[in-house]
Amino acid sequence: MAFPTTSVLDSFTRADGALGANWGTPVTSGNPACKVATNQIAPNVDTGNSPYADGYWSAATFGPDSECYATVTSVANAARALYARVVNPGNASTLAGYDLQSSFGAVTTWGLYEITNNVETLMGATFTQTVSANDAIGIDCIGTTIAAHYKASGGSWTTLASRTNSAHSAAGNIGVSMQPGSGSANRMDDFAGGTISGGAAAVQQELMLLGVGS
Amino acid sequence: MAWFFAPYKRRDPRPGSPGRYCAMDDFTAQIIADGADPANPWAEIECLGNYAVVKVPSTTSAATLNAINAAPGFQRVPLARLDDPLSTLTAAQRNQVQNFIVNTLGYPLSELQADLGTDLSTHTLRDVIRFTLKRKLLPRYNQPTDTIVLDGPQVTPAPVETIDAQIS
Repeated sequence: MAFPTTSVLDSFTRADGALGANWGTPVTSGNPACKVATNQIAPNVDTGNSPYADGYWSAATFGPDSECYATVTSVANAARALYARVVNPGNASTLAGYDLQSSFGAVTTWGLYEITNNVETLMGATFTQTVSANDAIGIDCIGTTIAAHYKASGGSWTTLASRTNSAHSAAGNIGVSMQPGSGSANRMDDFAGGTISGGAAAVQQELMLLGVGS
Repeated sequence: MAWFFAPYKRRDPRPGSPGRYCAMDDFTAQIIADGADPANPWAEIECLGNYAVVKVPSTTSAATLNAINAAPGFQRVPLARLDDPLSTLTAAQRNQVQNFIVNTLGYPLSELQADLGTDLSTHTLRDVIRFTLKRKLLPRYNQPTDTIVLDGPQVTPAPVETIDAQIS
């Protein structure tokens, strides 16, 4: 299935400040909230490396087949993550879902993670991808396939890696996490995502309605 | 190809987010250098005991396999295909596998013998791995001790055929 299938939810074209009513925080308990800065999404501060700031699209839940993607407008040698199928955001004991993230201290190393009870477990191997300004990254969850996607600025989407995992099959939130840079600006824009039409769950439902399969 | 039991190790993906990874990732670069697909160089299924059943591809060199096998906590089952019989292993090798399942993964010997009998030579690699994938316990984070604890609830892992199909 082609990636992506959904549209931009927020291009952050507004005054600097809080993310606004469509966003909830935190994803990970204790994290500060991302903010709007220069019509982009940003960590709460631009120095210090940690803690990461995050936020999730609270205006709706999506899925279970769902995707989340964004443009990395400023890399800042800082890490970032995108979430999908998140349930219980902000709960230190029951946070669950999936995320694609670059490694703290090694931002060209990426991993797909499964989150259960606020514990993040890497699925399979890490993989390498250098992200430059105005490249885009994305994650989608279709059935039990969780995949990472990348698009070079001006290029086409490619799949970096996919993993099979059945731990989380319910609809949930999508979101973002951003590491403060080392004195430089970590920024993303055009936060996008939603429910994937024609995904595995949708196909299964259609088959059931047609009286095919179980 | 080769099959290992690999431990999970603590590695927080970012400050404040407790995390773990399958220690086979410590060898990802070598496995890829040997010729594996960088997008999916090996595959795992978590089993009991904070361990994973891992399959590495046939492109993996003998030197890399030896390095993996020598790494702390790793246990190789020296058979290549799921239908390979354990009768081709020595008694000492079969005992090592059994002892690992009981002493490291944490399955009671009585349960293992109830399912597989007292002579593993009558079984295949598939039988043994399927046993190790009977259950796993979900993790939780103990903040006061900063530890990841695996004490339930119990869930059923994916079948071994899932990773067998992914890695060749």
